[in-house]
Amino acid sequence: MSLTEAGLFEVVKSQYLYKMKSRLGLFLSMAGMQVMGLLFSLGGVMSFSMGSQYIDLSVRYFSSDLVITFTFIWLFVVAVLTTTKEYQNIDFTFIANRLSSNLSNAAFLATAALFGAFTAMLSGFLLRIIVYFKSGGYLLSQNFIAVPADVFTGIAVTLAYLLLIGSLGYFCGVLAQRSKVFIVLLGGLLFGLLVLAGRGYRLPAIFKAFEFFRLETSLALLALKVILAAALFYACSIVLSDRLEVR
Amino acid sequence: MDVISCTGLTKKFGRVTAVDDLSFTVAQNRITGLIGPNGAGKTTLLKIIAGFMRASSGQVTVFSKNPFNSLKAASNMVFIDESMKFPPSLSLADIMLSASVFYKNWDMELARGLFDYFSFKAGQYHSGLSKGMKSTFNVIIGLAARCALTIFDEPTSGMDAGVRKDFYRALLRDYLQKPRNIIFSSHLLNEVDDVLEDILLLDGGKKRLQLPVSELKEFAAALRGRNEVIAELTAGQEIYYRKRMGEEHCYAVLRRDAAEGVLKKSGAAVEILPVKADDLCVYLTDGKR
Repeated sequence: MSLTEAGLFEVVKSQYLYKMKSRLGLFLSMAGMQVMGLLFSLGGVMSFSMGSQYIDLSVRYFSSDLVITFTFIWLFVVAVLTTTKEYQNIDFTFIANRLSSNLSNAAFLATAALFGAFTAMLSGFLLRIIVYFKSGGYLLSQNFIAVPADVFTGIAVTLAYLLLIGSLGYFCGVLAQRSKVFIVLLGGLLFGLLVLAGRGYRLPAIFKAFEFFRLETSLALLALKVILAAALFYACSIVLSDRLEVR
Repeated sequence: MDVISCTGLTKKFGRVTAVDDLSFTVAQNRITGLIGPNGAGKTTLLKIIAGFMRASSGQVTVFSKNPFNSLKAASNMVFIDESMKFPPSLSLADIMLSASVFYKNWDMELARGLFDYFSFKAGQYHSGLSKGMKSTFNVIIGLAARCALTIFDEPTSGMDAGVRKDFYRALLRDYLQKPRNIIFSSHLLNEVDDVLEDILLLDGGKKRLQLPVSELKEFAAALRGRNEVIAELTAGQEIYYRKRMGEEHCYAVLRRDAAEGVLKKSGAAVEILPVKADDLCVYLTDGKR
């Protein structure tokens, strides 16, 4: 039988489509997470009240920040899940090598980030509608009316963070696949950070890295930073998993 | 051109050596049986050939490439075993459709034919199949993928006798239509020796024998006679297996030419008997135990 020749791009494309087709369930879980975020947001994310003898004033702020946060968590979990043996063995049932498997995973996570960014930002409209019909109070219109430019900026920024989180989660997953020691280390790091941050300690200088992204005000620069960082995470993942034994 | 070639191939897992300094080649378009007892290194060897595992030392080439991370090797190879993983969200029909996207030589007509013959339903899920049904579905993927190198690692586990026979028939028919390289690992030689052309016998990670099945069937013979006669006549010969038969007689298996030589010397004192190929494989790999 004559040999067939498959190029890298072709294999990555087939794997990507296969993943999109077989992982629709993960997108359903995203919708679930977002609905949960929305429910938590219904009471308002921040409120204050004041009153005197004749007047009672209470102000509540509504935002879909929590939906976005939940989407971040969802994508991180999906990225880690993608690196597990279970998912990897599915890749290697059909044609694959380690590079094609990594690249198609990166493409899948980027698509998931895109879906996540759109739906999380658009959930703000759903929240507005619910608040409009449910809250008995007076709505301040200046934030209620969404400006298209702001919505698109919001989507772009959310997408940028999601791309970053996806690549970070993937990298952590690959580390954990290399050695179980990293699971303990990464878990300890996360827990330690939560405790430190919770007690109001100043975080060590290395965590200024987050500020590198968080404080960026130019969308173009943020996009550039995120693309470079994500590329770095994926490149490290590819190098680390290049010798991995499968099945 | 050799399809597979191994030289000094060794694979260690910690202190355990699963494949030990193995050298062999597989010529083009043959059905090779990889035979050996449990723990002989069959699966490890096949996974190295498939590019899933890396050799600890030594060389392996598949279509003249190192299969580890080679897309050329991967795109011409399909590896069927009982632990094949498919996405739990896809139905059997979806899985076949996806397989057809990956494999350029995929034959949907063949796949559908076998699918109906073994009475699968399009809407079934792989996780809902019984062990034998899973194996049957997996071999359908293996046959319909029509890869230049098709590896079956104990594909019939869990299948009932009828399905196994049907599978062997389908395998042979398709092989005759589209000759290709098939490697088939099994510890049941008696069932597959009609299907196989060559045999590679492994034991303890080492090659014990590699020859065509027809030669394996003629490879050895057994002598039966009185203890002292057999002991005297076979002195200095390699005896694969010896069994006492009652108080005074014994049964010894050795190479056929050696056995025939002995027979000439002994006259009527000893009897020569054929040895079945599957028994011989057990004798050859059971020695140390």
